[in-house]
Amino acid sequence: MNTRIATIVLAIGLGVSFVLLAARIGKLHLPGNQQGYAPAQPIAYSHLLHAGDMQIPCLYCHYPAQSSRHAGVPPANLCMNCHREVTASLGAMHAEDELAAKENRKPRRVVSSELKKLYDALALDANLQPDPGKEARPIAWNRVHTLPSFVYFDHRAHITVGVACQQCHGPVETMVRVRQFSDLSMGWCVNCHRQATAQGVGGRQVNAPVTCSTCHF
Amino acid sequence: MAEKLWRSLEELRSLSGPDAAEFTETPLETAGGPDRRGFLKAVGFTFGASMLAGCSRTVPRIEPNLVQPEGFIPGRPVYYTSVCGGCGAACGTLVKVRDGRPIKLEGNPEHPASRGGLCAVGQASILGLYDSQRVAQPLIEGKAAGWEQADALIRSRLDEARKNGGAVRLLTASVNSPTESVWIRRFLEGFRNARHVEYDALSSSAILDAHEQTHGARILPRYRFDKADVIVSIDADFLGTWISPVEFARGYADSRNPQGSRYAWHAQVEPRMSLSGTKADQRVVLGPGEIADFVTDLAGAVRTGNSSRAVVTAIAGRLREARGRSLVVCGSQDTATQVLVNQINEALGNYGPTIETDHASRQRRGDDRALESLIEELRGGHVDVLIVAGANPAFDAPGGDAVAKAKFLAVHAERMDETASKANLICAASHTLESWGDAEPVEGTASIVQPCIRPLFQTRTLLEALAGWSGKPAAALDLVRDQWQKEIYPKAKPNLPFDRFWEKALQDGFVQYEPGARMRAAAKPREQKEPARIPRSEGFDVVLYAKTALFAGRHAYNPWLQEVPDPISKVAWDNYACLGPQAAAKLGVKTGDYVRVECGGQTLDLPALIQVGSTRRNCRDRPGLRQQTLDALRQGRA
Repeated sequence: MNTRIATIVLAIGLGVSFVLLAARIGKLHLPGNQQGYAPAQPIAYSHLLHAGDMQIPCLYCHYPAQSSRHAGVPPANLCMNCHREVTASLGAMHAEDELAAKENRKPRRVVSSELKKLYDALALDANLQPDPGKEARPIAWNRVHTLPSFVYFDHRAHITVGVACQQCHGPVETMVRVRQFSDLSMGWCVNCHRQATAQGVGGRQVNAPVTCSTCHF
Repeated sequence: MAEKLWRSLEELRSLSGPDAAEFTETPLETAGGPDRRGFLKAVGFTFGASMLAGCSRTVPRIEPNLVQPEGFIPGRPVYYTSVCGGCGAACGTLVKVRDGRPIKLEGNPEHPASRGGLCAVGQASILGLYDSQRVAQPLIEGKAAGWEQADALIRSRLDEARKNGGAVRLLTASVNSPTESVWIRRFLEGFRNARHVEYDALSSSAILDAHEQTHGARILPRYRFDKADVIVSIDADFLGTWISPVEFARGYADSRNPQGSRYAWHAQVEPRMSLSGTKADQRVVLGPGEIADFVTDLAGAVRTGNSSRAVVTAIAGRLREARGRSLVVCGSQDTATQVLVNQINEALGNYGPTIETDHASRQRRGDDRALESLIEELRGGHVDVLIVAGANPAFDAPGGDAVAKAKFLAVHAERMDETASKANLICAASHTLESWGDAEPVEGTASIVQPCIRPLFQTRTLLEALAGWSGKPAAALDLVRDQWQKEIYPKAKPNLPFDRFWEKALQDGFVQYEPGARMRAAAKPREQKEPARIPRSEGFDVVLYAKTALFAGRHAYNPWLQEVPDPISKVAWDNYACLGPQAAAKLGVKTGDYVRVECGGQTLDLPALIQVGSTRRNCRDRPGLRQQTLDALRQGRA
């Protein structure tokens, strides 16, 4: 009798656990698969704004992708190409301009809270000039796309042949915070390589090798 | 059918019998392996551990440069020329630097001495930069301190010595840097009783002393293996560990090119199988006690053409045929033997063509007698301040323990070695890849040591330390640049302004100029001595030799080098005693058995290794060779 009750209790428990877990099953990843990973960054940089609305080409900032295996995160002095002038959102700057015109004074510099972090990292003062009293500190971005160290990946070959950035990284121009779009698994790599060899890239014939030593050596 | 060659005693046995083939037909022995339960346990544990490891997520970070230098691209390597700091040979290197970190060392193909070569020690020396056991900051009596405190302490000791005329001694390995030499002189000038002593763990002091007697200058000549047609090496493993093996191996390869117009003849006379011995056309196995006799016989035969021994007559005949195109080198530590070797080379007219005294080598400058007298002084307690830099005498100098007897011992060292652990003050030294400096392996070829990374710790180069102690603190770059502007730039006479000359020297990795010709005296020694003969004794002779990848043990901290199998014995790690097969049979010793080596009142228990080449069949009949040769490896801290 007791055994029967125990069996029923265990069976019900098992069933409930299954039902509860079933909703999460779809989200389960194998260890090492970080698909969907979207960590908060030290500066809330928006690709939606820069790559989407402003239509800045990917390679303007990630220029090493053409000539190095890393696409890299751009150095802060590259940000300063624009942000020496643009110190806050367009709305905020216009509002200050209008207010200044109304009050008949020179407009003050408006600095957004996120861009302030960039200027602080570069040890710049309120006039965006180097401040010797401050210490420059590199910005420690959280790396989103990580491959295991036993894989060799080179951006160069992919950019040169004309693979769109979005094919692997997804619609980055719509992401406020960058998210890992593909699972970056070996099967995913090999499938794409096979497809590219069979169908070409952008109408061009390519030879995307699938030998082990292409990526593992 | 060509004769089947063998490479080990095991292979020789398998060639003679079918049952000892490499892959046996019989199933592998399973005893001692895991049983089924044990196997499952191990699998379960491994799986669990891998799952656990997969659960943790470390967040990798990217820290891009704030202001990126022009032309710098992350992930793309940049190559810089520099100089290898692995030993005193100062080979030119190309350092591969990626994202600000040196990751690989290769030889600089343009460098006139090493010509693109770099040995295992050089290749592995990069690991020393990232060694977590380096001394990261100055230590006073074993406690971490800042440079201000360290400087104050040593300055007060030096001032005291300056006032009271106390004895100040600087003990270093061979200094191949011209700028360092100048600053050592400047530093010691301020004292009434100061001396600089150089020594080498693998000493060539006898060669220098012999040249002082025969040529009037205490120099190490530059040996040109690339110009020799007949090479006779007497216990000098010039392809493995002798003086500048990379340079010599390159030259040797040039003169023994099967496709080329000439193929040099090489005889190796040695008591143990060395790397050079494996390459020789004729190998003569002699016990260490017979080397001096051999050299004396050879000297006679080179003069007269005749000797009582056929092998000596044959070698002397080859040498006499190749006058001015031959080269006799000797690794003996006995000055009188080296004097004889100099006379042989002089009689053959080799000085000039194959032995250059005008471009003398700075790779070995050590003076054993100076070291001995320093040890005597130390034992007597007569040294007030002893500064040891870039050397570990407590480990590799005979009687070097005496350094602890100095009233104040300062050690400029990269890591906590036997000498540093006795020191009152340890000055943390920079790795070569973090240092500005220079090197002149042979006179007339100078290179700049170029740093490829900022010092990882609070360390200084010896140059900076010396300048600081002399009261003229300056950055090593300024010291080297100044010295080059004053000394090397005028000698090199380039049609360039100095800035451009400096940049070119950095880019090329070397500068060549013609040093002044040296006075050449007749090869008549002031006093002719009989070569020292090692007394024959019953039992075994012990031959200590440097292992190809570890030399005298300076790099024993380096696991890459410990893992390199010796090219002859094929043993990695650990210390061992090589025995010839006949000797082993007589003693009933197998490979792996422990033998106790007693020599000079010291004993050492070592695993035995049966090594062919120490005694060969053609030597067994020799009457003098009753005692077998026992090679003991002195490897280091194993």
